[in-house]
Amino acid sequence: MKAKEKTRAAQKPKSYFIGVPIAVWMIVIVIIPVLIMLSMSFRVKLAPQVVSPISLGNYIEFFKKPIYWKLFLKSFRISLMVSIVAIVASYPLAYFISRKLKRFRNLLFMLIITPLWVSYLIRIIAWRTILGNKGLLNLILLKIGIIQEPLRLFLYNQFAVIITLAYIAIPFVFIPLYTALEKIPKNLIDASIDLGANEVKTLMRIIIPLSSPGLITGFMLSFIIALGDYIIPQQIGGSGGIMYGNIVWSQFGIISNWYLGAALGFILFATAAVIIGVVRRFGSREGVYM
Amino acid sequence: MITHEIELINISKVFKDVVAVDDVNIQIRQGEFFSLLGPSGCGKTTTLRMIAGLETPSSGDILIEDEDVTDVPAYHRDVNTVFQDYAIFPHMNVYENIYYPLRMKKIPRKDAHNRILNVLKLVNMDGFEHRFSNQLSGGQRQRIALARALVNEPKALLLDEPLGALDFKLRIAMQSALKELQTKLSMTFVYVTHDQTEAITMSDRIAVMNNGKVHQVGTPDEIYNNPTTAFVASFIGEMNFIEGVVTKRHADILEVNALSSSLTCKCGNYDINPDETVLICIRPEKLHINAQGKQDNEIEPVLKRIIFRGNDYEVRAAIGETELRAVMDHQGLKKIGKDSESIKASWDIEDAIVFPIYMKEDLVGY
Repeated sequence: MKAKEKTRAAQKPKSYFIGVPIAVWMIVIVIIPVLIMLSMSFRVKLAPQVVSPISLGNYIEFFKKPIYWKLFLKSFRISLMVSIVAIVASYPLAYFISRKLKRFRNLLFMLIITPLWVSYLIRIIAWRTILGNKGLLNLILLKIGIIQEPLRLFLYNQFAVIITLAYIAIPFVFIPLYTALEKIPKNLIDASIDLGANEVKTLMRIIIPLSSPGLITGFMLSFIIALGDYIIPQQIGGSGGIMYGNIVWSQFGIISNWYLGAALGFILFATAAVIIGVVRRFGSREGVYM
Repeated sequence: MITHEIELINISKVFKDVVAVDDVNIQIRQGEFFSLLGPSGCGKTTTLRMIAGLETPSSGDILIEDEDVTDVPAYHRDVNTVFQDYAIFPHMNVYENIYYPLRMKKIPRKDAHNRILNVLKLVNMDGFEHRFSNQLSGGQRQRIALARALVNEPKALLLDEPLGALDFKLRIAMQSALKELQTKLSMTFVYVTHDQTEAITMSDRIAVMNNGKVHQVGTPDEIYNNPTTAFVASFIGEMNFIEGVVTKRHADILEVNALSSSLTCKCGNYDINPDETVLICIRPEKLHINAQGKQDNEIEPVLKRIIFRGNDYEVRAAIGETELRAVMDHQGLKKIGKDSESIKASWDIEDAIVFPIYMKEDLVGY
């Protein structure tokens, strides 16, 4: 198949031109900014308006000061939790809508991705009103009588950050999961049951493995969305919910050390790229259905 | 003593408003090659899926070896299915695919290993253990699906048009391979097909279905030579149909006025009386053209066309709107003179079957 594609491409030299706009786009929007950031990261700010020549100072700073790498690890932990929560929340939904439902399938699909049409900031503020002191969650718990006083547990901590980030990530997890689940031929599930597997075993051994391309894509998207975010921790994270993105952001803001910010940002970028590369290798066996 | 391997008692299946299977009664004997034959949408696959447990009947009972399994889920039934598109799990190799049903039954690994190797040998696929589904041809996938369904030694093997996706030559080869395998294992096979030739050549008995109903259950010989409904007559093989009105009846001999001749026929399975309109059915190979000697019935159609079919010729003729077909070999063709427009067509009373006219609506292709 691949060999055939290659010869076909060779016979049509014109097809190279189709790639030109994409290449230009990639160079201007992605590659040049990353290179600028990379070159900045190798210079250290000594004093306002004074910059050292090329050095590894910023990177040494990252490893020397625990605040950076500890926060870095914490962000990974939070992002991992966010991905897990988003997948656990999306999977049953995607499974139900794609495989069990016959009517209203498209309507429900649209409903799940409608939050994407609402501004990101508005959705964060909405979660503040849900989790807050006089928020919806406390109100409901008070009414039911489970608690006597509003709890302060929900907002301004890691829990709030994870929940809100997971909420933001859910549509991005749902779409690839839905697509992957919908593609599984019904006959494979029938065959599994026919061969002696009950519904749970069929789910574990056939449906989940065959939806792995969707799981991997969903995981990567939610992980990256969470890893790079700094607005949600800032808005509802409080002091306990601060993430790595916040300190990167602050280097470009209040602290005004773009060189250190570039180095911290590049570390995040490189790690994320490595993770995507590794996860990709495991995943996506496209065209498995024949 | 088990009376029947599989027994369907008054089985019906209704999907929303559509009756897919309508009050079906079938008894499948132990060790026989049983086919469910019918046009697409006749309910044969739904019937098979109900035996497998993949569909629940709306009413009726299913017995496997005299045990009522109507409410037993598919994964606890001792029958396995070969699906139309084989349904080989794409994320497992051949070995893992065949291990799957054994694993579900918690067969010890070592025992399972031997059984997998044996069943692969049985279907001539040894050495393919590490291939994946997309590295196999259609015929090979078919064999793996067969091996996977057989490895647990089910009481019956259910096959849902397993040869439908294969090309002609391979299909013929697989037909005899399947039949051989069934004889070797003396296992009950329930085979769904819309291909009458396939059903006739392979089966011990056939159930012919149409619109959710079973029209006839019988050996290939019975179904071909003594169809009990006009649908079966038209669906299996080729058939000439002549419409006529009964004028007289003596015991079971009818006199029918058709094609402006008086024809004599046997009454058959239906009680037919004078003034009723009937369908007379004659196989093309039983319709003799310009035959010597006296035959029971004789008509004089106009010759339309002679079609060369390789090993024989098809003669097409007509009287008015009624078209007739006959089969002749090279020798027989000499009886038709050059440029002759009119021919004589005759047949024996025993070679025609009569059905009441209401069955005309079931006819296939007329």
